[in-house]
Amino acid sequence: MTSRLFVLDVPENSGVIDVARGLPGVRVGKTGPYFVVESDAPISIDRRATGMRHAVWYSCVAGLEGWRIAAWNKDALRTEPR
Amino acid sequence: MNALSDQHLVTGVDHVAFPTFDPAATVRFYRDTLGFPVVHSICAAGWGPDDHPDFIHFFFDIGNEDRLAFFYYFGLQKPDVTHGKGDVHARFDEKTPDWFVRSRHLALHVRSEEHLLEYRRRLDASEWPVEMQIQHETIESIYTHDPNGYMVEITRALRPVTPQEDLDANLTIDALVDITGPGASLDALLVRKAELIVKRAEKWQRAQNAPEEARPAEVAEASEGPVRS
Amino acid sequence: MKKLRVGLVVPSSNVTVETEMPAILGRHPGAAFSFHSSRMRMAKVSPEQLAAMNAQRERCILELGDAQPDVILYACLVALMAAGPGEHQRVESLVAEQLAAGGSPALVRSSAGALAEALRGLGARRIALVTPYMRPLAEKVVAYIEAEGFAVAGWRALEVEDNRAVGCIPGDRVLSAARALDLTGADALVISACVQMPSLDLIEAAEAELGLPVLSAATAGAYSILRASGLPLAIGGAGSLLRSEQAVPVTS
Repeated sequence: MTSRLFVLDVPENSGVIDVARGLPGVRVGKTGPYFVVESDAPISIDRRATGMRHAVWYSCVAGLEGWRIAAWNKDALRTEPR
Repeated sequence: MNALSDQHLVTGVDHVAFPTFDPAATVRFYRDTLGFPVVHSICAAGWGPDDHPDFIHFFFDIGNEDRLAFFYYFGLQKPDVTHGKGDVHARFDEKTPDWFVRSRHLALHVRSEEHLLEYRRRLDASEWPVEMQIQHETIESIYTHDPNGYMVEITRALRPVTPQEDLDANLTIDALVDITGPGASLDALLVRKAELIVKRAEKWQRAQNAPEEARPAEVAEASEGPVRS
Repeated sequence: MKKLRVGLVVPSSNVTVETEMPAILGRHPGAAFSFHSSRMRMAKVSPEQLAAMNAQRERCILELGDAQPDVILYACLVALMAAGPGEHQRVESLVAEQLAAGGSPALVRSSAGALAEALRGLGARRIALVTPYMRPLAEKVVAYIEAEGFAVAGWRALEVEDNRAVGCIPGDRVLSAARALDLTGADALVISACVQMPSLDLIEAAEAELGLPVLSAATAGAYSILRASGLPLAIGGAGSLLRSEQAVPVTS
């Protein structure tokens, strides 16, 4: 099933969006000022690839639909189905 | 209902007040080191039903006409600060996590890197040097503790707050208020917030893009203020 | 019988406030007043002495607060007026803040504020006044009253500099000065814009002779205290200002 996570469109979050766009099977859309990261399968985003530092990394997810966060640490953000 | 009902009328911090047991050191810190002028004082006694000692209530200007105030009570015994954590007002035992102790603090705003570094310089030259300097993508802050143990932060924003951050903050709060209670979690908040995003984000965006006249009704529903979801 | 404690902040050489205020308020049929004063040191009514006096205000209020008064009257009129328009509001606010910070419910009034309050209570717009001061200080008093929204039709300065001597000015000298004023169109006469110059015994006679309401800083102070305390203006023998709500009119 398709699940989504939402990321606010502000300059500091561009790293996570850029990496998400490059992942296979992931579609990045927009609703209002939020990017919508959508996929049929769970995703994993590498923190270092985003270039984001801790404070912004740990606050970049604004909403979850269909997914739960399986892991969110200094290495990666990983989702899983609910 | 009157003409003032929906208006945001307060104009900042008249004063935020704390007790002190060392007014001399407090003055050395705020007035002499940081350069915050003393702008007011009141000499009073405890005349009401609560019997309390004579005291001085004094105020430092912290910018924007906002004030930081202290109470100094003559003859009041200072609490024991040799054990545990906290300041002269609130004490916590050793086991209390630092992140909780730091949850109450005063952060003062400066407009530029140059100003932040100037306060850093003043503190570093004093008895109360900067203990920590943190920068991330959106803010940069320096931290120290005043002579009373109160944590003081001076901070600058690396970029101005955007309108979408105002929307995001309000959605967070609306989601929080909806899910708070036993069993509440960040996960529950993010799920609820996703629902609110789906409901309100596009409408908000249209209101942002629309000409001035079309704005009021849509914005009232979609963004800040007394939002009913 | 209602009991009220009145705190008085007086210039240290002042003997008239503590004589006239009890004499006036002691006549009230429905309340018993006690008076408790703290003193500000001052001998000459000069700008330098006045500035020093205001600095003592905090100590005076601290002392009076301990006696738990119901109302405090800051009874130095010229000290406030010499500082310029708006000064009584400023000082009353500071005193009120000092009392409130310590949890005291005492009300705050001042002689300067009371004079304006009493004149408004009489509905007076044009007033005449007699003061004991040297001309420069008298001019400040006039300017202060004008800034409160009154027209000063005429005034006399008796030019007595020493505050102790002010306390001894003979009544007929005050009355002569009052008679010399052109009172056409005046709604009220302030026979003593001063808390040290004795004037209580002159008020009724002056009203009878001159045909208009006559008040003094002392009777205005009493007016303000009565209003603040919710008591009727039922005092006889101290001018029409204070007897308008007497149950049975009393002549002196």
